[in-house]
Amino acid sequence: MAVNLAGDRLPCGQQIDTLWERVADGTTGEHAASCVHCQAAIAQIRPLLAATSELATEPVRPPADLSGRVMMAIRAGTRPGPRIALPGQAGNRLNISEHAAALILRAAGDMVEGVRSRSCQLIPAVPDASSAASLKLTISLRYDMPAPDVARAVRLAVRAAARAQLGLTVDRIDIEVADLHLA
Amino acid sequence: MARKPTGAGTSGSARVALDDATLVVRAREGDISAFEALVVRYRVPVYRIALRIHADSDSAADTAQEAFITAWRLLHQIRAEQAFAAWLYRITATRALSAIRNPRQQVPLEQTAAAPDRSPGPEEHALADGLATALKCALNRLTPEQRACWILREMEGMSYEEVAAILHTTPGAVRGRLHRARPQLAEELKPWR
Repeated sequence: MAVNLAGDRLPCGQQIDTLWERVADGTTGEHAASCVHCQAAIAQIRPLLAATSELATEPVRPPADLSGRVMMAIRAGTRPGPRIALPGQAGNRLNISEHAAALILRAAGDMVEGVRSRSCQLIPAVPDASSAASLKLTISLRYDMPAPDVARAVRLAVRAAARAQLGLTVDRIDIEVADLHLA
Repeated sequence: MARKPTGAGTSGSARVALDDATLVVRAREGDISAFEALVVRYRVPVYRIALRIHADSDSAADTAQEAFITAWRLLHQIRAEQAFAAWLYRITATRALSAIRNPRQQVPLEQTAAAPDRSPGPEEHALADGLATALKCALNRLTPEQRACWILREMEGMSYEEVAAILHTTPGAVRGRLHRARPQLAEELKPWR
């Protein structure tokens, strides 16, 4: 006997969606065992489920150069972003791209246990003022870490990196814990 | 406050373990290597979804590549960074479906004319050496929208709501497409009953 799987229910009242899930879980139950409609439907569902799971677990290998092609296209299309002037010898310019400066400062934050630096916005000092920059940093914090202690350590680490690697004095560092993460 | 042990900074190996949201925020601020980590993380599922919708590896590779490049350009539009994967799958499925609907936008005209019919002929079907191959042939005879529903729901294990969001439709419409696909696929797998 053939039953139509297209409808919502079988002639016995069994919902096809539910039967589909039960066959998948291997829990078809007593009614299905003695019902001709359910048995006919199960006979159609089983090979379809088996084929679907066989196909779903078939290993798929993307072309080896996929990531390379994507990254090449992205690098080729990326224009240089804004620059920040760093203090240097009088009469000579030293600039760094905002995103390179952010890489350095995020990396410094990442060195503190339980911290993953996210957004990093360096606000440069007004030129010819007392050369103090400020920073807005968002982080994800490991769930078991004390935020105030971590914030103190991040400020220390980021200030040290700004001074050592960029020659910048950063006075104000605002930190926002945007998220928590497990170990 | 303790520092991480040596090697646990932002070296390549540590970056692999960063969560999607962190990588998305960094990439959005111009950190290309953070985006590269996302590409490496998602190249297999993105290519797999593209391959199953297209059923042809060259088109799947093109779709996967375009999906990642589009994602990079549109990163600023993501509101929930932790939902990056669903957003990326949505871009992938949309691109694959639109490439199937408008093949001429993707392929030069002379190639379109010579392109073989996507649906397998009787000989190919007879050659189907197993259940999975038979299903592959049967899936190719569904409409692209039905096929995408089957792939995302039954093979990628997504909920009706997730599939609906990816395909810009309602959960009810996804359910309806699956209902219509089932008897059609079951019929094609008759010899294995």
